[in-house]
Amino acid sequence: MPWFGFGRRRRRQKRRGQCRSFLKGSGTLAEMNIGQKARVVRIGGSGQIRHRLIDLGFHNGETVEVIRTAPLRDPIEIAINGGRISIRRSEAALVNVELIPAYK
Amino acid sequence: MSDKLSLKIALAGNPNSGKTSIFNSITGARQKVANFPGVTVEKRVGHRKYDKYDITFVDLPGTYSLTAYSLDEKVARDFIINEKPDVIINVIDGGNLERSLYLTMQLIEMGTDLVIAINMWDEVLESGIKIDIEKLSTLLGAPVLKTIGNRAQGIDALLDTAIKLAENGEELHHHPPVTYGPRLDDIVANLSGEVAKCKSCNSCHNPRWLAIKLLEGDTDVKNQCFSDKQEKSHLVKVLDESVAHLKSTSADDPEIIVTEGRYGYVAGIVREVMQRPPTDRMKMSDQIDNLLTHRILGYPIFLFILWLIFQATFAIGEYPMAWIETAVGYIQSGAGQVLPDTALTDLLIDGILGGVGSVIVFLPNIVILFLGISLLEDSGYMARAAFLMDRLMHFLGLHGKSFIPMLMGFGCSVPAIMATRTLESRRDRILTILLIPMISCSARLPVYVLFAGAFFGAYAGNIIFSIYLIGIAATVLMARIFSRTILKSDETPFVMELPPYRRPTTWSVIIHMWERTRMYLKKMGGVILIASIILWLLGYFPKIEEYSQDYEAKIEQLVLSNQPDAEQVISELKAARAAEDLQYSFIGRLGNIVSPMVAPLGFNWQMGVSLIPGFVAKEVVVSSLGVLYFLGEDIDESSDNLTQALRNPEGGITGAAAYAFMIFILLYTPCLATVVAIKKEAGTKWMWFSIIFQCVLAWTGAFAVYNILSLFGL
Repeated sequence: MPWFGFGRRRRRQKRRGQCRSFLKGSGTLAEMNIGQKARVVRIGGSGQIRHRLIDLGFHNGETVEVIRTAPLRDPIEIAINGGRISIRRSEAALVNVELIPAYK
Repeated sequence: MSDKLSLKIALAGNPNSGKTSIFNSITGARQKVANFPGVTVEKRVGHRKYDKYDITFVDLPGTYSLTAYSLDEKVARDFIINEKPDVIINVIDGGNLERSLYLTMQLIEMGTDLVIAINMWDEVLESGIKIDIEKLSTLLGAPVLKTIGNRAQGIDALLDTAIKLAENGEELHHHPPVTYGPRLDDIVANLSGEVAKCKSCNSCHNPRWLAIKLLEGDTDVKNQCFSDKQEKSHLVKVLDESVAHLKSTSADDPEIIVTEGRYGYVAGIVREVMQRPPTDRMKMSDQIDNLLTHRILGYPIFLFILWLIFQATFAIGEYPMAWIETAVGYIQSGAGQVLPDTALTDLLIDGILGGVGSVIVFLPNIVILFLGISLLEDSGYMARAAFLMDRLMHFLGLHGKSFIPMLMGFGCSVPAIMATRTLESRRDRILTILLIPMISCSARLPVYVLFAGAFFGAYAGNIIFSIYLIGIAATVLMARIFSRTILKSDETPFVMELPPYRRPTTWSVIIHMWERTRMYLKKMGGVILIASIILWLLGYFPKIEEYSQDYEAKIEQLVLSNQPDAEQVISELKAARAAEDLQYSFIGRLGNIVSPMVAPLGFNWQMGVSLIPGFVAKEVVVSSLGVLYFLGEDIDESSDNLTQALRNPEGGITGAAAYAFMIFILLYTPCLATVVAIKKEAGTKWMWFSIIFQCVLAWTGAFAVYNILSLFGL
């Protein structure tokens, strides 16, 4: 699902609600924006990919933060457990999260 | 050493936790260490005599857990299960306690004798993290020690503890069982009771561990436990009941419940023993990454770094190169004057010195290239390169992780092919293996340096850079084609750790460079020396019996005749004789077969012939050319070096042909060592595919390049 675009494509995406928007409440890791923090609520997927996510520290209740995205917007860099992990958006979409509101 | 007692100790831990640097500190080995995950892809063995023991150390590949999903995890797990090491040293990255302990828990569950080494203790102190070592030790029921692997600190204490543990393991280790909460614990207890009764599985391991693995749905453990048909039906029934019970009480499946339980337990321990400072240990790395993985500047910086390394390889390498060249020349002419004029002397001067000499010249280039690569690896930039490149690699049907082996391919294809073991799926591995030979390895560099230097002078650096770029372009193209035709399948996940940036230690970089230099020299002493001698023999024999004209008589006549142009005529005659010698020799005949095949590419016969021994190792192309050009000449008279000989218009090599030759070298069949590695990693079928495919590609590519460049009059 392309969430970027210009002109007509962008407007079409907006109409269909496909364009990038700040995550509110809950959603997946892939939808989060740089600087947002969230709590993991569920790991989807199956088999190898799910295992890899779990092994790298994704589990229920863990806090994650999106640090940055790669120049081509994919993959994204996540702060988890005091370390940094690079993950593709397609895989980040398997992790359901609940946003932690930012207090300033 | 029969009076010494033998012990087997394994090192296990997360990727990039520094197992290899501890291994090196213990055994004095010089294994390659780098700051990116997955450097150790095979278990490595080293020895150390300590106290009254003869200890075998095994450095296992880094794993995050002990499931059987990727090859290196399997290697690690199988070793622990099958070889039953006396003690396992679990190396932990102090900065990443939580995830490290997740593996520790699994090791404890397996019932192994464990010593825990909190490595990179200097970093822990620096970042302000406080860890209560004694408490951790009590909670885990295993000794915990501080180490700094790359400075060899805490190693002796580690060995002492490991030995004590091996001597009286029972007394020292009282792992409290990992609890998963009352609900799951009951089920695990019930299931492990059943497993313990079962003969086919309890023979090998801790029943509790097996029970947990069964609940997690581990296929390897299942196959093993269910090998006995009679017991299988009963166990399957109990397992299904347990799983059903778990599912009825929770929305998650058993696998998640188990991991949640384990993480919960770990989190409890971490809360008790560790205090994290308010500042983030990644702060510094993040700031560096703000620049190095910048949205716009990231790629230019990456390209600039690569360009810098290759440019330095050529520009700085030029000076020591000239010194070595001169030295070899002196030795050759010196030997020529001292030794009697026999066939053996010819072999020594032209064959051995000429062959090996023309390769040793490139040693400085190799050293500088590996200095650059090891700096990239040790600093942690390599993982960022994978992060930057993932989207592009995705386009190739691969992921960023494949980029690391491919980048290593610039050094040498063999370790690069070995490094593909970190890739989880076989399909990714085979695709990467097929692409690696197209990445220009350092052995090809001497050929480029020679030809670019001879034909493109001041532009040599840029010409070589363009060859590298063409190699990358060919890789991209073939990846696209392969991943859409013969290797079509789903992609595997790309989740990778980005380690904090570290200052490369001088020692580590030196070890790394020395290893490469040693390998290069060893190759020269072995393969290249033999190839040079064989090639010389092929060029020297069979001796011509009857020349087309009587050169000896003519020369003698001229010497006596006092003609004004006698000198020139004599050297012409000698050259003609040399050419006849060569054409009559085995090499000449081989060249006659090869020449028509490479003639459309603009190569002369020497170039054609040199490609054949180039199969052994690509540097040999240069030494072969050295032998082929100087074979017929009298070494005393010739002050020409290889560069000048190539540029000599009589050789008939145009700039276009030189460039086409570099393209051919870039693309044609990988060297013998690479072929062996491909066979080992991907199988015979893919090996043959790779050999044939590369030859065809090289010919086609060189043909196209030669003809296009010729149009522009190069």
